[in-house]
Amino acid sequence: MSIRTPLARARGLGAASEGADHFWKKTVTSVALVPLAVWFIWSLIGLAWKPYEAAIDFVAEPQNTIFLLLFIAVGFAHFRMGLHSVIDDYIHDRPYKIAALILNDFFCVVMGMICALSVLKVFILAIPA
Amino acid sequence: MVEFALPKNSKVKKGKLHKAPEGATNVRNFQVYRWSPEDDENPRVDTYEVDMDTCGPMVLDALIKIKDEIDPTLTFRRSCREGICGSCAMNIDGINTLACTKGMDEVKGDVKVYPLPHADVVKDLVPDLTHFFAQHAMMEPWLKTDTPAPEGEWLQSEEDREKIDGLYECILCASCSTACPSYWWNSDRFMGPAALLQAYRWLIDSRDEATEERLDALEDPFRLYRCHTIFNCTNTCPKGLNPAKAIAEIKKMMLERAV
Amino acid sequence: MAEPKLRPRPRSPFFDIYRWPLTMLTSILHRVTGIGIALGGLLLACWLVALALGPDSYARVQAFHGHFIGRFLLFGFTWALVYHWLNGIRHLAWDAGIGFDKQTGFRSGLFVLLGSVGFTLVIWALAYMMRG
Repeated sequence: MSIRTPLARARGLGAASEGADHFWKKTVTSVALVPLAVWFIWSLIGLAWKPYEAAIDFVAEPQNTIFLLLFIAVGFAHFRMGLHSVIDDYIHDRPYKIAALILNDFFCVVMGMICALSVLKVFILAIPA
Repeated sequence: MVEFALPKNSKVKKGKLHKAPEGATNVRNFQVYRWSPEDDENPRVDTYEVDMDTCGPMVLDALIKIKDEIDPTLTFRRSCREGICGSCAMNIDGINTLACTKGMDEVKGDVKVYPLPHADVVKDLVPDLTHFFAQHAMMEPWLKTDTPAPEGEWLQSEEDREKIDGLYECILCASCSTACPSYWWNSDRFMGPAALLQAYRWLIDSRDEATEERLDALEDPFRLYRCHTIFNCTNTCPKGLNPAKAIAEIKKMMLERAV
Repeated sequence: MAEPKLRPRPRSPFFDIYRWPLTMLTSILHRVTGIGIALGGLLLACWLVALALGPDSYARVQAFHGHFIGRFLLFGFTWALVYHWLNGIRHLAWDAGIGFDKQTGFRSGLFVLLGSVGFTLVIWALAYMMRG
């Protein structure tokens, strides 16, 4: 128990001078994902019943490779920021919060790398020798 | 992790039934949240049967009638009974509003009355708003200037004066902030819609010279950016103000100076 | 100021007594679908990795997608993506200061809710038409 004035409690440790940047980045990634998500769904519809070779051809097509890599990078960046907000909202206990934030970063980076590497492998293997 | 459920000492039990007087024909049930620091029990919901034939039209009329005629221990705040003091804000029929301007005819079935949500209860329908008002004080709700005061008044164009319409009318009833889930989880650090609407009221006042300082004080992941435009504030405001929009305008100002 | 307390104050009820406005539902769904899409990201990762590994593993993943559970997950993923997309545009408009009228907030929410289901069905109908 600690006796502080209500104003001292409300002020706490002060403003972190941060937030506008996070907000801006979330906006930019959102805007990028509006067309990327449409492209992604549209592509999946086209690939739904196609055999393995067609999927390979699709991913190895340079503009598709680029769109896929963009979708992966921007998507996971956006998710990372979104989950950061979720953690800020619900997880207050210090050790858990720190752990959750670190895990979030690790998860998003590793998942993004796995996806990106798979796309790149398909792309590179398809280059005629 | 945030507590999504009520703590053990706050779980609401079934309470007493106060029967209507003999011969009352037009009876309506009021289910009212009760808790007193004096007895060692959990909160409960008491049911009062109120004779509508001898009662005014507003929920506050019924509460006053209950206190006068049925149960003098019922405790609530009220003052002006015309929607300008902000004292009698409470949760009626699931929505935060003022008991004095909420007509009983707007409610279907039993009238459920609770204190403002997710607040420390002082007694019955009286929440502890100490922190809420401290956050209001933090917004320094007064005109701040460095330029020496003019002979007459600070001048303001008509267009600039119009910009504070829909902002200055706030009566600090706390309906919006206690309706906001983000405020439920983070009231210790998030300023909440009421304080932020107040901040914006001074941020766009053309006469104020402390815009920079005011924005600095708000640039924080918690103080401002816990707002996710859930819209509960705007939906619940008994004065028809739009805190959600005010907060969005602050976020725009933040970007305007950063990007 | 800290006053002497007789006993700890209870917290007033919130979740269970509040009458959820539609906008609160759409807000919570935005969060739920956001997390859902990330889990859908696991599906995407499996699909891409399988594709990179070769025809056998790709066939296995496609078989899972053809299975009832896989279909169900994919359908849920599609809806989550469509919902988050539509509601995300609603949020972008709000961030630009547009659509804050109480009525508009309700209507855009209703549109997002119904529209997300509608678009999802259209997407799946298109996909099934491609089957030929």
